[in-house]
Amino acid sequence: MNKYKKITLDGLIFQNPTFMLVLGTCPTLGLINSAFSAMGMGLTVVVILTLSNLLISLLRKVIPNEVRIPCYIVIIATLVTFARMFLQKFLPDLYDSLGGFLALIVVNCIILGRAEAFANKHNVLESALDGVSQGLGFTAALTLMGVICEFLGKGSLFGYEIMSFKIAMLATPAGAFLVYGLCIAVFVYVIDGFERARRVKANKLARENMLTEVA
Amino acid sequence: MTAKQFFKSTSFKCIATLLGVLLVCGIFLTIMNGLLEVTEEEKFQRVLSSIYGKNVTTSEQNISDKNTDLKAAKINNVYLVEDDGNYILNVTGKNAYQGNVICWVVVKPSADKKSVGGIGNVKVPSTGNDSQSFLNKISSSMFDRFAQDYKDGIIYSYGFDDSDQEGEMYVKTDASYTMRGVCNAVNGSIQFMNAFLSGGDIEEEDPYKEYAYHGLINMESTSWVKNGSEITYSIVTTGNAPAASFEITVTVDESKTVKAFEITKHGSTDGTAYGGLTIEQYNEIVDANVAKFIGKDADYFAGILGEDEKAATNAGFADNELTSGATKSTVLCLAAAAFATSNYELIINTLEYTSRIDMENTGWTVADGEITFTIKTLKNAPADPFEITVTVGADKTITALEITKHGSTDGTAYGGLTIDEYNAIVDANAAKLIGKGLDYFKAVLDDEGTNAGFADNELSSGATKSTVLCLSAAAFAVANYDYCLTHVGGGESNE
Repeated sequence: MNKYKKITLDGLIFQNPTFMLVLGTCPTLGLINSAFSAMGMGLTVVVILTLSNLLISLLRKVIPNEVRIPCYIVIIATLVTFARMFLQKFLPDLYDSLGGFLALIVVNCIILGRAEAFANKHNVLESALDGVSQGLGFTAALTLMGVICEFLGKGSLFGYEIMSFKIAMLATPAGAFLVYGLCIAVFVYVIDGFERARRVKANKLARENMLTEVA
Repeated sequence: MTAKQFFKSTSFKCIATLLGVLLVCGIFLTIMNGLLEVTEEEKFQRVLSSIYGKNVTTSEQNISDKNTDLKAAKINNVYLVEDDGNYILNVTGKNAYQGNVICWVVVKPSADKKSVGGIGNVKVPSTGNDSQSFLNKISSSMFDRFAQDYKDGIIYSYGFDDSDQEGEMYVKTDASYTMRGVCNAVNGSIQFMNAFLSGGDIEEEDPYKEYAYHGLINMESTSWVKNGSEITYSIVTTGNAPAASFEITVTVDESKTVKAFEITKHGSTDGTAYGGLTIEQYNEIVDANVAKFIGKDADYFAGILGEDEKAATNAGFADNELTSGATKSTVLCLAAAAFATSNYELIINTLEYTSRIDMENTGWTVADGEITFTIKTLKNAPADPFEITVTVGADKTITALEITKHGSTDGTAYGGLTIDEYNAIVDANAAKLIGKGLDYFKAVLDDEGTNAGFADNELSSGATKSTVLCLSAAAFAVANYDYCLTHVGGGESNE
């Protein structure tokens, strides 16, 4: 498989930070009671993750190994602060809805984790692509759960009221935890099924090849 | 290590890299901070746009010479919206959940611009209202009701007004206390703007005006208990700079003189910084002075304090055998004693816990030291009035309680219970009131008629409004035992 395709699919599906790696749980549980906030948080992380991966990859040969973590934190904190200023200036509604979780992106495991596990070892283009795909994977997961929680918990979607029936518990962090767990279960089940089918297909192909060679 | 070796070492490289990263990041953020700064004017315009859906021109009104600190709300700023002639107020609504709530209220003037003609949008920003944790439970349609329901003389009380007889304001907000703060903010805005537009100012009525010598008393924190012909006051004074608030227990007997006077918390502050005494020295003087209060009546205290206790000096101290040197603290103690003695007659003859009782249809009879009350309560929406017979024994506890007419109404339309289910809960709760005294009812009812104290007092929630009416009837009976023993009657003769 083409390596860029692999990076993209890993970020979106096979190493999805939310469902497969279970990273960034704090903003996930705190924000998925609103689809708007969840998507806003996801897109903010896309930008910060892409830029941090890009910068860290660019500076990976300059930054000594001994101080790499403090340097990463400073770079990530700078990007988060910039994102806060930008949102406060141009997207105040989103800034208000994200509240304290925006500042907490500094310590989001996805960002520091990708910096350490990927950007530190790959070139700029691959790192940037990893940032985009991981970020979009995070965004898709958050938005999906945001839609579920907001629809069932508040009877609305992206702030627009849809129905009067609601299960208020699902709009709380406890409800979010329940939805999160169920989503992980479904996602892992589907990916497992997919992987199993792929393995069966590969084994069958290998057996056919072996039989052909024997014949 | 030589200097050359140091500059070639990893340590130096690490320090230089970290400093370099910090410097670049610092410069970047400094520039961005300058470029992306959100000014106060911009923040204000955002609030206006969220209310009007567009940018509007405003001019701030001068309210510095007006009374802006009202009982229910504090008016922070008033702006005239020049585009449509409305006013937008930044108001702090008091008594919200765990504090106050900051609101923006649009007030529309009447056609002649002399009074309030309507309410526009009401917005409660999440910023600055951190303590209102249930704010997001209030729907936007609930805020729209302020504009829809406006009529001349309206006092908003959505979701919390127990005395709302018609039930017009009874709505389920899921954030009653926050909503109370918001209602206070809107009511305060209307009160203020009516005065502002007519060119006058607000003179709020003193709710404690019938009490003498309450100028130095914190009336909201002061309470009293009647025991036969004696009244024991738990008085909290205000400050009297530099003295801080005192907490005092005073007992006044039927001779209307001080029977006991105890300072439970002194308020004197250290005066050594400005040539005064230490706290201990002040306390000694005050303790010696208050010991002389025993047996003294209202005239004695009034003679020292004069007509205005806030302006009292030590001028009359020597003539009355009091020692100067801790004047401000002694004045606070004198004010507490004056309050206790001069209000004895008023308090001993006032029925308590009457706020939920229909006094015109309530009466009592006395037999062998027992009093049987026939009580009709007021409505406590959505519950209708209850009729209850309560018997109080000589030990001032409930000996019998029978609900002769239930008042619970069907709640199934709004997700509540049926009348029978409510009645079953109320009956079970009422059965638990037998043998209970005033302290029990105080503990349950003092949380503003909510079910906050139910669980701790073995009462079931689920029929809160009806149960509160039963509790109020029982509290009324127990609290007024002494009075009713000597004032046989009730009904329309009640004052």
